[in-house]
Amino acid sequence: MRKGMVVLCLVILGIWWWLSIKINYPPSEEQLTFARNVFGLWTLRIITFSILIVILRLWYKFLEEKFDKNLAKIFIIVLLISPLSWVSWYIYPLLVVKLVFTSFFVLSFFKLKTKKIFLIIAFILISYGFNHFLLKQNSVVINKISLKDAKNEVTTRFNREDSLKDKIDLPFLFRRFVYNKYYLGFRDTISEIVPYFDFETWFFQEVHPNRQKSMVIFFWPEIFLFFYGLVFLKKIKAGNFLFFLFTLSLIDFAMTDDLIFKRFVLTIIPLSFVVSIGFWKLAEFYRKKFWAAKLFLPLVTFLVIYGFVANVSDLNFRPDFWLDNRPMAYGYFFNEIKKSNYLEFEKINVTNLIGPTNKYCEYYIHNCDNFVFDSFYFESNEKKETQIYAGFIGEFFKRDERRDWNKTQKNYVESNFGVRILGTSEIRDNIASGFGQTLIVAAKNK
Amino acid sequence: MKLNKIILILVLGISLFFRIYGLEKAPASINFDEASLGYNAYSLANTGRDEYGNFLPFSLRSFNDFKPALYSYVSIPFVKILGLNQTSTRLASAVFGTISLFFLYLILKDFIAQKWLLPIFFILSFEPWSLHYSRTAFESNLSASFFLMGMYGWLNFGKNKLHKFLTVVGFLLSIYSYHSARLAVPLVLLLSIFDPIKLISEKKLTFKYFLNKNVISGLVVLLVIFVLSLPIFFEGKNLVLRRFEQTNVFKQMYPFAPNELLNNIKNPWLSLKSNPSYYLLGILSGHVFSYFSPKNLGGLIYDWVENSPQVISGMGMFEWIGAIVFIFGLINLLSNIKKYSKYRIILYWILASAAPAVITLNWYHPLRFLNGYMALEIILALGLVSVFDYIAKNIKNNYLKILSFFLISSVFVLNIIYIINNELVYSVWDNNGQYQPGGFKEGAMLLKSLEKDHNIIYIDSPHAQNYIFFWFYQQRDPREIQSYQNLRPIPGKDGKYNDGNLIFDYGKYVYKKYDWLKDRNKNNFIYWYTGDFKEDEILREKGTKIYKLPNAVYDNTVVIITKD
Repeated sequence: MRKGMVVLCLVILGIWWWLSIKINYPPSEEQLTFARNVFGLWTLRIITFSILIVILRLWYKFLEEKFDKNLAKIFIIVLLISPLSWVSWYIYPLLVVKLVFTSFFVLSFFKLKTKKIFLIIAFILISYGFNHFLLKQNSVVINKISLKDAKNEVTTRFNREDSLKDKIDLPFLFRRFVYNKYYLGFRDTISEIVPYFDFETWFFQEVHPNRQKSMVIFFWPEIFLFFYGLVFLKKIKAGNFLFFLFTLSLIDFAMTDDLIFKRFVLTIIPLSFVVSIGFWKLAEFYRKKFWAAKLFLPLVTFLVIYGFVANVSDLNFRPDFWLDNRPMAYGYFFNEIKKSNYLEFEKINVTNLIGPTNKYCEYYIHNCDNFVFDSFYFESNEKKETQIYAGFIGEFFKRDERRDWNKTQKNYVESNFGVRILGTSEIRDNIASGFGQTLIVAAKNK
Repeated sequence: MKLNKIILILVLGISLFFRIYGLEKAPASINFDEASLGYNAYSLANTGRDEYGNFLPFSLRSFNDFKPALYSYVSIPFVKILGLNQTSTRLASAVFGTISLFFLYLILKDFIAQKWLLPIFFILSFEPWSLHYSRTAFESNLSASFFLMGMYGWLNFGKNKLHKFLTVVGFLLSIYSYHSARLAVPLVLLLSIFDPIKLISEKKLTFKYFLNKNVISGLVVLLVIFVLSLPIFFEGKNLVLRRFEQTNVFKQMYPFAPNELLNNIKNPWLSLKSNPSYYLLGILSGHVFSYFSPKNLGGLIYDWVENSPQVISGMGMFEWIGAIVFIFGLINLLSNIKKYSKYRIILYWILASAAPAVITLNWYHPLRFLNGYMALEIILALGLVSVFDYIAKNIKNNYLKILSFFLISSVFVLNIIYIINNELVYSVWDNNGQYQPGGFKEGAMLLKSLEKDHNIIYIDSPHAQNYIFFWFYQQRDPREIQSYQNLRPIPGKDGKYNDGNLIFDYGKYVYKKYDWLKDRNKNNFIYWYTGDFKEDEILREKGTKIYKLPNAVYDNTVVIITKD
């Protein structure tokens, strides 16, 4: 790689590292095990980051050999500026594992003469095993293929149609052709695959119409490069290669049931590739002094850089808007407990509404003997022991989805439940439905 | 060749059949826009005036939304022959929906090989959007049909006079049928004339590019259409502008960037890190690309269209396989876009059709983009060609090849059966009570028959503008309705309850909240009421009767209470 390219990569990576340190995001659930037992959190991050860099280097070599050196360079840059790549090594190491595995799979097997269909079948089995057994995710598509829902729907649809008072009577056989579990199961399966082709999540997360909680995968100006890249697919004979990559990522999408951007982690490879083709071709025309390329290349480059800067700035300003709030809540609870001489208390109650509290406790506190991990309904709790309560404001009352917990005064808790509030904090997302967004750490009988 | 024609006629015949069959039953009852179009057709047919007494208007004031009147004019023959009912009101949409398929076929002939033409045309004829919008009275569907006619003429403009005629007439009637076309038509013409994709492929930008015979003849067409459509722009233009002000993205979504990022910044446009222009461009681009997104095409229903007549029960505008195959079509289109001008025109067609929707608040809005779905269908057709060609070329074993085609055909045939069943039967259950208020169809005539023996009729119904359902189902004399024009709420001002509802008291009909305890002492009245009531309490009063009116699903939707 030329020096300029290395410098550009270092600048981008430098910005991501600066942001990572600045945010100092607590460990995610999947980081806990490794961070607690084997490495420290930051050591783990450095390792996942290094693995990702090695993989990118392999992709660079592969694309350089198979297509073009400049295309390979652009591909690396496009991947590096993607916030999804950043969040993968920073928070979700298992996504990096997936990327590593898939990359090896593609890079090692693509040169083999084995029929692609066998590779795809192998990938389906491995992907299912990884997501189902290791990540404990129940694929919606697999559920649909099991035809259980379809069977129920056949009955439901017949019943509903037959209950109509004045209806068009289509022949029973005509209806039966499609009102059977096989067709409806097929329909359900395909309709679970259609959401994979989601331009809004791929390119428009910054201005998403449903205000979906997700990471930006690509900045919106990159969709123009994506469409422009599609123009040249046939010409550079990348169609089959790309189809193969998209198929693998679609399989992974179908096998997972997770946050939407995590389901798209493998998709960033083919998408980045098409975006890179668009940029590469535009640059080629720029060099050939085409008037439109001279206008659009600087414009689109500026907009992509602006998108990157704006998103990094936004992530820095509102990390809780973009990132999962649950590790943040745990970070808050345990840091507050740590500050409170918790060893002097007989019992420490920490909510388990939002995840594996015991694992977080072991990470932050190490020895969790007098901790209870459960949601507490405070009014029924009249014991005389000295206790700490760490949870959501709603847990001091009773779950109520309709109640506006923001209006519930924190000092009401203090005055009515005989506790001393050690600390409170507001979180952005409603991660404990019906219990409010106020975190409270309070002490009782002490 | 002859066989092809027979198959084409057969496909068109089947398409027409499923578009007109059972229009009285599905959708179960009429929605209020349909009722307005139908009633105004009835009014125009009998008096030459709309419900407000305007003589042969270009636009119907209707609910102060100034609907283009062409749909009602086109419906007059059906209303005259069949009387005012759901079928006669919807027939124009069904017939023109089928005619548009014929023009789609003619366009497809230029894009796909003869061997795939008819099977693909058959598949496209039953895409959910095509069937759904043809079975409801949408002026936008009429407009889309004319737009397609115009596009067919325009794609073959140089061939002969007939194509020139079809271009001008098609586009002009499209403009007279629906608001969106007023922006889409000039835009598609301008884009095709100046061909920006070809322009950016040129090495140098020269003045010569803009001065040639095609550009000049294209501009003449544009001018002719502009002049002939002038009358419609003079009628109610202020109200159209007001509507635009209410829904335009520039006003409604300002300051575009997340508010939190703009805190403490006096002038958002000067923000360096979160400049509104970046986000505004993102929103506008997103609005355009949303019409290419298979997820949207294949079934995602956004909040702002939920419970509206434009939603297809449990489906997207395309069926699921179609939404995926669309991607292959898109790649096919883009791969050939530099080479063939007709491919570029398809893209311009989509961009121009999206333009009216892009500048409004909503991200993806099927109704506002209806002119563009036929272009998307052409892309889908290109996708199907890619798939079929792939199978034909790459599967060497003949048995396997036949099996593959058999499986694919079976899937599409089953999809078509599902779509028909879904649209004609299941949607009645699924959409019941949303935009199809039950009870009016069943009870309006009964109310009319009871009307003459009572002094006053109290109406308590949750449906906005519900007077139109009474007029429609009672086939109320248009002269009587026109005589109420001075009682109607003024455009831009609120109606009786200050809630935007345009209901008003007329004749014996008085709108008020149901209050039996207060009203039971009165005599000689009728209540039309939707809600809970105590039957025994009512029947305790002397001279009372209760008529319970079911709708398509429920037993009691509306109740008519009479007291002598």
